[in-house]
Amino acid sequence: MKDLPIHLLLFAVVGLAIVGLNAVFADADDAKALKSLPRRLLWFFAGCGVLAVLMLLVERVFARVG
Amino acid sequence: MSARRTDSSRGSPDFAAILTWFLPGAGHVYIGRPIFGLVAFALVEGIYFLGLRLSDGRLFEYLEPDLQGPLAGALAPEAGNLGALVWHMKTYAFGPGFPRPWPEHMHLGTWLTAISGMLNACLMVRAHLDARRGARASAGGSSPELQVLAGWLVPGLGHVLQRRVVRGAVIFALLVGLLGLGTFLAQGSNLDRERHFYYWAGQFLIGAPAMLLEALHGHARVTGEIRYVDAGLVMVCLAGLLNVLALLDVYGHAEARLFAPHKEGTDAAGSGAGAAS
Repeated sequence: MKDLPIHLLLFAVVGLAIVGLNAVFADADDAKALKSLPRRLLWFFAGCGVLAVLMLLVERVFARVG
Repeated sequence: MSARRTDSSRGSPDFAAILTWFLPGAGHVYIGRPIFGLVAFALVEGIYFLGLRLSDGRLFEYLEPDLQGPLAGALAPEAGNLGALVWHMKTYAFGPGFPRPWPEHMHLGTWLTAISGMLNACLMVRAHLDARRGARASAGGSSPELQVLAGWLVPGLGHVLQRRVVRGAVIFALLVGLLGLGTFLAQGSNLDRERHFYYWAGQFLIGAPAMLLEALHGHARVTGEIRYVDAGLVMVCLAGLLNVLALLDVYGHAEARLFAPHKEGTDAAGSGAGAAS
């Protein structure tokens, strides 16, 4: 777990690239695409956070070791 | 890409593209452009067979024995030139099964066979468009396949050629930045097709920056454990795969402009990603 901050940072970088490409792919207008970036980032990381919590919950309930 | 035909079309666009996939240039011969087809055949197959000669056809000896199978080449960039790939695998297969020294220009050879696959994918796009454009095909004008090729070679360049400079700069910064960070984390171990055959295939989709890094790094030996190698490999592969999205955006925009009625030379409204699907 000591590497967690670094992994979160790396995930943030990858997330930025994924969301950035998604924004320019989804919107033909550059200004609108860039403007929508913070909202898209928020949704992406919030969604990933929810998914992580759900997976941890499932792991605790169904696949707990020891 | 949609397969609708114009009144002046010369044949089935889908069939022309599939023919090209199996045999470069065949799609153009089918739609009645034999000279273009023959030149394209010579170029694409020439590059493949030069690469084959330089690497002695030993590309698939890179694979571990448990990865060696009839579909081993399906995720390699060479799959863009399917006929040559099948011939390659039938003729050379996976080698004699014991280690032996690689040819001097092995890396260059495998780059060339991969480039041939990418070129043929662009040729398929061209065959499909030419079949749809029909009589207008030889009239010149915009070349979506060249813009896609430019976008592969340098991420964002296709957008810049379409005068979408901000978009191109954002894509370049994001993807080349991801490639650079991933390479740093993997300490350059990602830049070797022998070591990471399939991750390399993803990374190949980012074009010249990956080529340049590989040439600069020179396939150095790995002498110890690399702590974040997995994260690095995922990043560089993801950068290449995200460039495919960028290429689809380039193609969609070019296609919308090409087929927009009576709007030649103007920016087609609402073009971009939606037109690619």
